[in-house]
Amino acid sequence: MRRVLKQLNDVVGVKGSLAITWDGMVVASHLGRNLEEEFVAAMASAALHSMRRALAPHALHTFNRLTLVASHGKLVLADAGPAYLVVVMDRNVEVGPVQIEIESAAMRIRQLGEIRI
Amino acid sequence: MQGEIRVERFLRDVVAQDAVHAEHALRRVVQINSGSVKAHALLAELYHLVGAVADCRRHLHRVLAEKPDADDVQAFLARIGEGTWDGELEDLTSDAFATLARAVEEAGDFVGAPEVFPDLLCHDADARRRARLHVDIDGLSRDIARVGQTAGVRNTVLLDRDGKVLAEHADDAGLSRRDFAHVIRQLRSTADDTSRRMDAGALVRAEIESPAGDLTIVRVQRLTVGALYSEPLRADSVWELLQDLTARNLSTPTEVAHA
Repeated sequence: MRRVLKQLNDVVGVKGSLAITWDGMVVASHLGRNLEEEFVAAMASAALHSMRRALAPHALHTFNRLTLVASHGKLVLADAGPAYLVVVMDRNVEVGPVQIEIESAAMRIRQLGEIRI
Repeated sequence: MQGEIRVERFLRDVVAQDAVHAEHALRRVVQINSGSVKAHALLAELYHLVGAVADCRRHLHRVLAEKPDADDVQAFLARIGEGTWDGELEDLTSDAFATLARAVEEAGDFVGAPEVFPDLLCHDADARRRARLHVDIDGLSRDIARVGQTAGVRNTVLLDRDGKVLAEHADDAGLSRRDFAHVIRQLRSTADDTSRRMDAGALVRAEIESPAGDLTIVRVQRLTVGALYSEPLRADSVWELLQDLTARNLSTPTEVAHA
């Protein structure tokens, strides 16, 4: 899994990535110097839970991907089967072209199978 | 440097965290070099933006001590109502400043108008102008309803800063208008919170892709646009539609002409 993340981080504009369980535990990470793994995992997990809670009454809660674009950075959370793939991106990079790389990484994580902690 | 960047970001996005980081960095600069005109000018600007007038004055007097011929500073001091300064005023505490900055963020607007502050450091003029963008609410409301009729769009809504619905549209396959507005309020709050905690600045857009339908939320100034859609629309085409809509209704005539 670390290899998958490392390859994803080689894409221009990706500042770091990590795989987390649904409850926010870090499975593997490859983050840049300024990013703390536990903090990013906690933020991503909290966002996932809140979004799902808001969408559940309307049957929209099984989402494949969540993208947050802010003025100084971007965050993508992709469903990767047993884990969620969290990708932190630079603000100057378009999300569109990187989505293919994210999808590919998520698919490879999905194929890795079950996670036991 | 960090202080200057954070002030620029605060001017552009009105995110309190940027102001707090900027103030902290600039305080350290003036502790190390009390004669730094740049740091005093930036601190004065921050204090002006959040409404801490006495502290703004204090730092502008320090600027004047170094640059006595700065006419624009003298004029600005006269404008904010003080001719003299005793030099003994207490420093605003960091906590008190953070409270003022948060209040500005919640209000979505500065207490002191950015454009009246003397441009001592040749700031990015666009950032100041953007802080006072023109908003055509009626045009925006009409366009929200129009976008709602695009094939694939199930719901659209326009919310103000407080979550009040300004315009909305729902088709038979969509959620009820009330439910959709409620969902967008909740998602906006979560997405905003995550962006700020991650120190990524102000939320611009959030997209959720779900087998049951996709959602896009766009923040422009104090307004939020939400859309729920499905095939044949995709997130990138909806983003284009919403960009077009905001460009038409949230820009000055000059900007539209340039565009």
